[in-house]
Amino acid sequence: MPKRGAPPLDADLLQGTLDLLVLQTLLLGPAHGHTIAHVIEHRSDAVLQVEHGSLYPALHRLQNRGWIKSDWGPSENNRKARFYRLTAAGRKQLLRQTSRWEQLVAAVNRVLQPVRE
Amino acid sequence: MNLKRFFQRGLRREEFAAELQAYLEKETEENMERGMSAEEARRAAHLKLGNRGNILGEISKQDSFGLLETLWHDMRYGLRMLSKHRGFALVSLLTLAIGIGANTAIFTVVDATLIRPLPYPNANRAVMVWEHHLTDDERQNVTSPATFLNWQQDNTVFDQMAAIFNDSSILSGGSTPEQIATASVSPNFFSILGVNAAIGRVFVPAQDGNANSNRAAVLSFEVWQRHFASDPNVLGTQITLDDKPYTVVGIMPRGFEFFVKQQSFSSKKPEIWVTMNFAPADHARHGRYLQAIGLLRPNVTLPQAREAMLSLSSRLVAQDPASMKNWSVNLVPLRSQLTGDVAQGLQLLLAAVGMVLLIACGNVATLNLARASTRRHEIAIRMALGASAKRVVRQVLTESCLLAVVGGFAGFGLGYLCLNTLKSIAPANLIPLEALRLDFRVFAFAFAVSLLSGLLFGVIPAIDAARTAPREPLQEGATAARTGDSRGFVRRILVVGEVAIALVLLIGAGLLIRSFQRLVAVDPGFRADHILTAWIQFPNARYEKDEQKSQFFAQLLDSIRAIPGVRSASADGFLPFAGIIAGTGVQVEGRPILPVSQQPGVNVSLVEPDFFETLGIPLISGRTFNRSEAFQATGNVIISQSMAQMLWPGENPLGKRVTIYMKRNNTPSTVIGVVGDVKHAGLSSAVKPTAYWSYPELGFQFMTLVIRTDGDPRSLIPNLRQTVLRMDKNQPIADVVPMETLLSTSVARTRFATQVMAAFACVAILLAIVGIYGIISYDVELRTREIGLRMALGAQRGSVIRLVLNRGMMLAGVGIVLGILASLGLTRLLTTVLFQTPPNDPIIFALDALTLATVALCAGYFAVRRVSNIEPMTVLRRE
Repeated sequence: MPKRGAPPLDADLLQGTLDLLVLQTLLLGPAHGHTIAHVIEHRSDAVLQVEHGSLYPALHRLQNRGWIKSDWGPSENNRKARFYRLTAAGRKQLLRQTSRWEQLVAAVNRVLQPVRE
Repeated sequence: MNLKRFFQRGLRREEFAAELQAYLEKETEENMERGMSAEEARRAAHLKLGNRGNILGEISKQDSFGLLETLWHDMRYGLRMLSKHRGFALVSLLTLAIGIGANTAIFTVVDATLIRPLPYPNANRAVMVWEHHLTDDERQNVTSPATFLNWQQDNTVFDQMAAIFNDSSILSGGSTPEQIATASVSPNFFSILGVNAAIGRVFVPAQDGNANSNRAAVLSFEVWQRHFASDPNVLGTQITLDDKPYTVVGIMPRGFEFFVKQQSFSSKKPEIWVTMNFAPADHARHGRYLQAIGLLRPNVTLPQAREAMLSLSSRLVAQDPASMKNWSVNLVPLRSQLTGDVAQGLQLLLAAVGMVLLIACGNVATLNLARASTRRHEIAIRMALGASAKRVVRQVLTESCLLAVVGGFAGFGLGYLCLNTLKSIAPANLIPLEALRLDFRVFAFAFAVSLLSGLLFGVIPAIDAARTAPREPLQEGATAARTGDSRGFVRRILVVGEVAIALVLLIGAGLLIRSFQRLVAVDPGFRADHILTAWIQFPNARYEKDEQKSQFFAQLLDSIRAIPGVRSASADGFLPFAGIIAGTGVQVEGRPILPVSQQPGVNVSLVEPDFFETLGIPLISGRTFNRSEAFQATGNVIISQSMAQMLWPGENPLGKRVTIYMKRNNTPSTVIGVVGDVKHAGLSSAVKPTAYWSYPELGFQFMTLVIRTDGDPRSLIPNLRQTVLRMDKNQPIADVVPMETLLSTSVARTRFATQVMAAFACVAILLAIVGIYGIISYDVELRTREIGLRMALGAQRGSVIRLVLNRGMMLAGVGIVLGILASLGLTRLLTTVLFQTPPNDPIIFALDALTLATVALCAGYFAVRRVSNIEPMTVLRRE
């Protein structure tokens, strides 16, 4: 496992992953951008230290694909904020992507295991 | 990507902007809760979020057509920049419009004459076949029936061959007879070209191919319209040419023409075609008067055909050395035949106009560079705000191309105007005027040239802009003087290049103008003013006896002399400046007999009495023909001064006898007079020894009337026609033109090339002025601070002006030296078009260099005057 303080991963490399993480985060319930960013940063042990700004293009992209939806509503301190929530299509996509991700991780792990001599 | 999103992208952007704002507020709040100061908290929030502009850009990109969107942005931005710098934009646009306009006009001409396919389907395989006269190196000599028939039978490289003879005949019937250009052609002529009739049929060897069937005619569309009122029933009817009946079998499509001028008997494009078939006796006819055209077999290349024809030709020489010795064969592809003499001139113009465009591009690039330097600030800010170098290059290039395309549109319009001017000054027959049009191809050309020049003049400033390190100009302040940097160097090179090219054009034009002046200053040997000329030709059948013809001309000239306003009237067999003249060998009586090939050659013409007086050719000694010699062949001859000098140098030629080999009996003629020399073939031609017989000696079927009038010769025309028709109601006259027109037509092509070159040179100078002015005034602007300092330290205004001016003049000087060097190499290409003017004429070179230097000095001076506006105190205070 990479440790805290290791260099953050490249945003480009992470684009697909970021989508997955956003969907995963929204599985817990509707949230606005600020929350999503912090949840991801927190849960990944700060490894995925992307600029929070890069989250917004991802949100826009997911929305364009119909995997998430957004509504304007009051935030905790009664400001106007946009809440994102998962759609049915998004839920399906999350399942599909998660299993593909797991396959990928397993495959990479197999390759990366030290060779027995 | 869908359109709805594309059109709502503005709204989205606002939404996301609001959302990012919300993020920042929230994050700041949280940071403050963690104990940061307000300032610190806001800063940390911004850092966490990243570059807001980039995020929004990223989002917008998802909603747009990427490349197009950027282009659109760049274009709008470019337009804004251009409208902000109106002076810059205006000068650039004008410069470009001139460059592109001139190119468009010349391209149109080149396209119409050289590029567009010939209107004959078989044009690529059609080849003109000439005899090559080795003794005087005439490479395109007409051939004889005997040789043509040998070629036709024995060649192995042509599918078919046809013979052509351009003639002139009288088309009678209808209200007035008309002298019309005709062509006798082999029946397969049209199938060699691959063309068909619009109505009826063309000649077919099967139907028109025997000697007894030489009575079919094909009309051009134009003669059908003009003479037959577009009546389709003319097909199958008989028309009368030179008093002989022909059956009309077809009418060619509108615009069809075929005319090869080289050694053509008639100088006009034929409008009626009749068949020419050969009889067995023609195998022995060696008089050369036929043009020949062949259709190459498929898969036979031109070099192969040349080789085969050369070997055939040497066999013919071996068979019949008497008539074929010193004659070879020469093949010329139809296209080069038809465009050959125009091509060289056009290439010259194309080169010149290309240079104009180069100068224009150089100018705009200089302006752009100068502006790019003042724009460094703006670009530095853009780059500091995160614009990539690629993006900046694209922006600058888009701006250049935008400028170029707008300039191109203006240029296209200007090209249209140029073309109209060109059409009005272009001599007839030089370029196909009706084919000149601004069509899609020309538009595409103009557009391509615009874009190309946009890239050309945009690329240097663009690269320059991209190299801008963001920090440097921001720290320095924009007015800091940087001398000797790479940017300035490029600009200087551009100006030097412009001056050099402008000088090349100026020298080229100067040489052409000088040559033209020398040409028109040549004395043709006669007085052309107040002379009307008219061609008159009898049908073969009408006046058979020589006495009848002599009688006709004597009577006609008498009645012309009786017309009020006519001072004198006469006629000439071969008028100067009107084309061909007969030539032959001579033998002086009492000297050793020379073989034909060693006899001195002279030109021969026939004249009526009063000819020399009417044209104003001076009588040097002896007498001219009297009235009685107009009726009877007396064997007297009048010779030109050069003929007298050639045959009897230092002797009195009067009374001497000489045989001029042209009559049937070849008895010697007696010299009764010597007259001045005439430049028969044009002002630039060499004088040829000439003999004049009186009309009855040969009794030609054709003569040219020469009439000296009191007033405008044109006013005589209707009266002249009436007089001829009163003598013979079936006898037309043709080519009725004042002698001065013939004279000016003969130099029309040279005048045209000179005018166009001069125009280009003027434009080039104009552009160079703009360039020099631009660079010096920019120099002054950049160095305001330095100049202010100098003046504050006590430098005189005058010496500062001199300093700045010197620098500009250095550039002009280098440009002029380079221009002279380049001209020394390039003007040699003009050698063939120049008349009595060496291509490196030192006077022209010096004069043009001086002109350009003066002009540069003036431009520089006007630019430098700004220095006087510099107030040392103001400058220093600004720092």
